[in-house]
Amino acid sequence: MPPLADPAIAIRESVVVTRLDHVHLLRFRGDDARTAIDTLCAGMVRARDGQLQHVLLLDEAAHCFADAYLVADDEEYDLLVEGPTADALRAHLARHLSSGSDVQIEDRTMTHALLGLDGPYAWELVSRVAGAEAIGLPYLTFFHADDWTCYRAGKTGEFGYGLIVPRDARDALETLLLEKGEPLGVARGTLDALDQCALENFFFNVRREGREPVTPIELQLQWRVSYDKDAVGLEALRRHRATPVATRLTSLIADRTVTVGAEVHLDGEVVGRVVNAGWSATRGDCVALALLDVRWAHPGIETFTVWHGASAVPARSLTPPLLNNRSLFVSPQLHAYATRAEIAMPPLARQ
Amino acid sequence: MTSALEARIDHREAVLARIRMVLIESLGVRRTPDEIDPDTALFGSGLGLDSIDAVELVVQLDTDFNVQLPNDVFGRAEMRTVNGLVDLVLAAQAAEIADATAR
Amino acid sequence: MSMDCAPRDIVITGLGAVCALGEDCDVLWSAIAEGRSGISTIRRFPTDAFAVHTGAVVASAACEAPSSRTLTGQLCHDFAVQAAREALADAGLADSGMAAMRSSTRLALVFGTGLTDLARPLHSLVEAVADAIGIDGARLTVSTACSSSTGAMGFGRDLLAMDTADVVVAGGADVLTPEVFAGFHALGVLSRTRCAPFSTPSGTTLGEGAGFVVLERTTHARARGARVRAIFSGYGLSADAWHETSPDPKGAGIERAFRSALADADADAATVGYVNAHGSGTEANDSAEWLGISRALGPRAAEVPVSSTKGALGHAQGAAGVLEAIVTIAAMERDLVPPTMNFEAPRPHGPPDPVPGPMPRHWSYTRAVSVNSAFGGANAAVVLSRDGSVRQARARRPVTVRGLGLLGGFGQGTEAFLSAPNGVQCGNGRVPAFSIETLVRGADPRGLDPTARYLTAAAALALRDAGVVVRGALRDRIGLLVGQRRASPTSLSAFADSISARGLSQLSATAFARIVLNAAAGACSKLLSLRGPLSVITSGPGSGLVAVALAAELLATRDDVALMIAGGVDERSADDDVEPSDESRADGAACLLLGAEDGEPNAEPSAVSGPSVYLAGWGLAAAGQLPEALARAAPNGLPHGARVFRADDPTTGAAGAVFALAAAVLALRDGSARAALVTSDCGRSLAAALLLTN
Repeated sequence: MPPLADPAIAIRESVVVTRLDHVHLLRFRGDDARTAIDTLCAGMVRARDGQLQHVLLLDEAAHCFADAYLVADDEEYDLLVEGPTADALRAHLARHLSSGSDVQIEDRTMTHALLGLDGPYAWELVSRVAGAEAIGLPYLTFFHADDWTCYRAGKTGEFGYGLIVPRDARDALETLLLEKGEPLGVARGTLDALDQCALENFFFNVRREGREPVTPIELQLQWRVSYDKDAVGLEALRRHRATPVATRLTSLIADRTVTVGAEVHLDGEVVGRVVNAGWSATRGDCVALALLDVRWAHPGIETFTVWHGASAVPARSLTPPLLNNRSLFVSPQLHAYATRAEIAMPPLARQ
Repeated sequence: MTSALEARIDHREAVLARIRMVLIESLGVRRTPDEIDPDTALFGSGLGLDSIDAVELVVQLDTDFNVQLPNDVFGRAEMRTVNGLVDLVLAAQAAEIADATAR
Repeated sequence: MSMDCAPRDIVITGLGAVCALGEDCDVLWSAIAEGRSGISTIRRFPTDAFAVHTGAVVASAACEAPSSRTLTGQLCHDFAVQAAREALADAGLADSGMAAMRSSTRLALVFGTGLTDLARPLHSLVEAVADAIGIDGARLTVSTACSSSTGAMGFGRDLLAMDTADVVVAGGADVLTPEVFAGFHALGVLSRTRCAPFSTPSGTTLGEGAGFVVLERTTHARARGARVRAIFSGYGLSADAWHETSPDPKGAGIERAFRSALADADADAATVGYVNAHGSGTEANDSAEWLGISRALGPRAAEVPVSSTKGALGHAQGAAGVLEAIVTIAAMERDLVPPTMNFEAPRPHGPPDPVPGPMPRHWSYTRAVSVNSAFGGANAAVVLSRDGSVRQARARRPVTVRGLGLLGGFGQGTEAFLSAPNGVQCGNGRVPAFSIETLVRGADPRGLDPTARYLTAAAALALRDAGVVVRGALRDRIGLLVGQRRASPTSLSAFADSISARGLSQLSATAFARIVLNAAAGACSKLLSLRGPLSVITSGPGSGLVAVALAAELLATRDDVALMIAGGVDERSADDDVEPSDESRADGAACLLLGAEDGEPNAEPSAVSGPSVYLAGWGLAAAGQLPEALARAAPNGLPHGARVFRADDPTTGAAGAVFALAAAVLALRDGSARAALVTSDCGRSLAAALLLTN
């Protein structure tokens, strides 16, 4: 095994390969497959064949149940689901899909595995293994190669790809990726490292802030929701929306560590609490998400304090994403990891 | 809460409201203003705008708000979310005031 | 060589060109041979407000300022007339001294252009060009932006195969206008210096000009002792079905057009010795295009020189295809391959042999492919050969009408259509509001102007009527051919408004993308996954019927297409007062789903009840020569008792004649007719006749 870099750094500078074992893979088939998907997803289903869509599943109380990618593959649909346990997912499907409809759902979580590739040069590693087609692969599309599928999506703000492979081929593919990625500075990724990146780039994390008993409105996820359709949780959401919403998710920065659950104060009053937090090696400070009173849920407020144990940690609100991700300035058509020093970029951390 | 802070927030919300209207009226985003969360991404996911829309946004920022942004990668890095656009406008307004005061 | 030439053996006997490198083919070729470039600083209009100042303009018109749409049309006319005259002279068919031959020879003109928003309709500009050069036969106008003249050459070949003409002058013309320049600039695709295809910096340089080739049957050329410049072996069309202005990054659309052209030519990829790429120089095009070309060429791809002449000629837009074909022919004749100009360091993911300029290189080959792609994802490729075996005559496949999609003042669908009063039936009135999402699941209406919505709705209705779901491999085998008069007036207004409100340097890039004439067809193909042949015909009233005839011809003669959606679309201005009084007030769209009967393994039995309706014959002829068109549609005479549906009212727009065709189809379906003849002859471009039987 080649010496591997720190994934927290590699995700922002080169590429990491991560086992995404916490994701459930479901395949929907049948004449009513699309209708079933439509019932489960809170937003309008717009993915055309060959496309992915980042979708949200709610429970009946309009709280977040799952964060998923919908993959539209000819007349079949895959859902790559994060959030619930396998049992909870199964129960959710049984409760909300009508038994008479023509839809077969195959659970492929045991037969298939998911590997994630994330980083400014993730595309270069993918192309070394999957061919030149990966170079131009647009965001939220996919292609098939041999017996696996490569899609482009990620939650770090860098180039991100997922490889869906038969489970017994996963280890060999992972080894191949780490081998081919060595000249590209590859590292083995961890879920914590990916979660930290999501936090820095304001990607919804269903396992952290997604556990809060709030709706997509508080979580700034209305883009994944449609009020013009029927789906699980939308009735409750429409009711909730009828009265002005009281809190909103806001990005905070602190020079010292703060923790989940900590109270946020402004001018001596409690205005919210922290629901996600982590130290950013890239920025050199602590990044947090807090549910704050909407009146104060704006970037540019310098005088928050977060109570960490007995001490008050000064904090300020900032507009996410909190980085000028290197991926913004890298073009697969023009650049390469080997000549990365030649690419002009602004400072990485945003103020 | 200081009144200065409240005034700043009120001003920010006013600019946010105008930016939402630009997105709805000039870029054809089919949402009501309150459905457009402030930290929603503009491109890729979020509002799902594309490269042609980016061009239009740069022009709107110039004509409606007097924000001059280079229409290249560096410029695009400044406008990734709705709040990012608000920040650009507020910064341009602050610069204008600073210029005017300096004279 | 055997004298038994299949009717589709077509040769090129004349070339004519006007472009930045010169105003006839000799001057053009000398410039290429000497490594000269036609890119220079634009003097025709001010470029101070822009970051780009270069273009490839025709020298004699360098200072003409087409500040009005009338002047643009005049320049286009003049370029075209000059190039067409040269081509005819080169073919030995010039006016003088050839009167006797010309009077017994049916000449036709097929004209491709990306021009839009002119003072007068496109078809009348083309008719004026035809008049000026003495072509009173059929006039066909093709409008697919930067691949227009490539497709024009292909349809020119089809007109010969359909016996509409004996000699076809095919090609196109375009002008570098301030509006087009500003539009490309707004999209960020112009090079700050000079177009350097497959190299750096990325970006294109706009050009202009006109080019024409003279096409005729080998037998015809031989009989009159004409000199053959090249063999037109075949052509292919495809749709990216991807995005308004960006090409499919996988190059799959280019690959399909390339393969289709080879299949049409009965040619193996291994016989291709040179490829003239579209090579516009933009970041999005070059790498995607090479991906597609390399897959189409197969294992030998790395050994084939692939160059782009846009570094020398600029991107001549609608004229690019024919000009690039002309350079290819001239080079092939001399055992040379044209260079890629301005080539320094290679951009990653490009052809291994781009023939870096400035000089052409010695290379012996007998077959070349020239490719072009365009906004809206319309791709076209032509195969040009130096020698060729006689091609096997191909069995023609029967064509059936599988479905009808009708949208108009009467609402939607065949029942609403049948119960509508006569005038409304043929497209008058206004289309009532409807939601495209109810017809196309998951469709995002943002970004669709009314023309795009109408066309997509009618196409979706036709598919639904036929019970056809576009899925899997069918996506690559279903195409779209549309007749239109103009771009959407809504988008044209938005474009003009953005210029008057904000100035050229800040015009609306969104509106610019929608004023290309094939924007609606591109949007429709994307929403319905129609990736087969795509084109747009703008030959005046009745264009929709012409589109149906050409679509039928594609289906009958190619086995890489299974279905074609063909028809017409019109959009009425929101404000009737701004409409010139002679413009049609038609609003709506009519599409047929045509299918080829060939035992296609995936064919589903038609969902339509009642007897099958066959499109038994079709014919195109010169305007005013309907009997000629009829003779081709019904060579054995009209079946007894055939009902005749005439669509000669020019106010019914491009789609009007297709509504008449729909009425005929419905009459056959319900048994009130056993055969029907549908005709259209109301303009100065084409007469069309279609025969339907059970």
